[in-house]
Amino acid sequence: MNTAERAAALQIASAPFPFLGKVTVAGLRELVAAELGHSEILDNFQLRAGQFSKAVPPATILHIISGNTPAAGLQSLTRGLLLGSQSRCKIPSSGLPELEEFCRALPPELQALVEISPTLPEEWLTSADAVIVFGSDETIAHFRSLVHPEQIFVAHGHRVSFGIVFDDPEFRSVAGAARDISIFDQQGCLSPQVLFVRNQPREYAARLAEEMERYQAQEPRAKLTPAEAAAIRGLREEITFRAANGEPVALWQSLRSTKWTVIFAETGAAPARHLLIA
Amino acid sequence: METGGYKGTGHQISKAELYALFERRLGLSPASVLNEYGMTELSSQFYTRGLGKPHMGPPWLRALVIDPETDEEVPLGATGVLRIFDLANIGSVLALQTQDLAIRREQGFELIGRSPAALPRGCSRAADEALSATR
Repeated sequence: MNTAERAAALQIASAPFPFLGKVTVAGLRELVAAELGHSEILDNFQLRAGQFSKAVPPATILHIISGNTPAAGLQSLTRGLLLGSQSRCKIPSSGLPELEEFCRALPPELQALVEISPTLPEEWLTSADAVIVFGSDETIAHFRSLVHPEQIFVAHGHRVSFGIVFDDPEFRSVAGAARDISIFDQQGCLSPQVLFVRNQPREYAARLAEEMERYQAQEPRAKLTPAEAAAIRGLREEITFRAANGEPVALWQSLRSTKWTVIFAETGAAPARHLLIA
Repeated sequence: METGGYKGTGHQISKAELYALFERRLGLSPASVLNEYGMTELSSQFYTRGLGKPHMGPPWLRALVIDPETDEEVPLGATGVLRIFDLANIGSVLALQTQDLAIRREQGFELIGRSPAALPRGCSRAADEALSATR
């Protein structure tokens, strides 16, 4: 299969997953062109910067995929297959049904390039030309210590994202903000952890709390471990205590659950005021 | 008697490993080792003996194992955080919400330890920090 044929197959397999965005043949070819200088440079020698050159992808890519963001794993696999690399996916022990569904929709030529395993065979790690890791700082440090200098190592670790609301007197952004915060249980790379709100921040927080409740009723968050739920309770208690001591903080929370929490806090130094959401 | 409590820093070994070391180095079987569980904020303590047995306290000291998700008591055999009531706390607050994880048993609770998501708090923490700063 050439690049265009692989792109066409990937467009079809991506179609049932709206969270991947619009995956099109044209978009994938543009991606190759943007990264490598020509959309067919993986297939044949192409004239690029006055010389003929051909791109050679890593023969084998190992993708270490975390369970909370299937979109990231699917994107990583899509790119590996677009290159035509053998793609070995270490998935969480609890499985990743989206990845398996994606692979079933691929033509046999691309299916043959994919291997999926909930365990990590030693040989997968030592023989990979490129290792791509999604996970916590500890996971990334662990794999970084295992790869050899000649292996390509790409790590996608913790991210902190925030939003800024400059001017929204009618609070039109609130429902969208609640959705951005809640989707992927606030564990996506682009999940905002904090919103900075310039005008009427306390009113914004109160309305956001209503939208968080509404979103949770439609799309309930996954169950947390007792330790995680206890950390949220602890944070809520701290804010309640600070509010009782007259500090400029306020708390909105889901009743009889830790499903959502909105914390308002004035920032003394910055001109904007901020909200923290757990 | 040992009081556990590694407070999240410094060296950590499991209770089973610790008791194996007691046996090897001191010749004490697990059944002859007591564990005390308490804290500065309490006037009374819970005790257990050996491995895998629930902690019990005197009659004026009670504990509930609370599901932090719902803030209600967990069913028997389930894990939650400890909420402790000490009637001997005459001069201070009598109810304490901890972030220590435990399993609810028929009588008492089986201590798992400090919730890993919780910030380490406790008396040995400051000493540990001071020690690591000078290393």
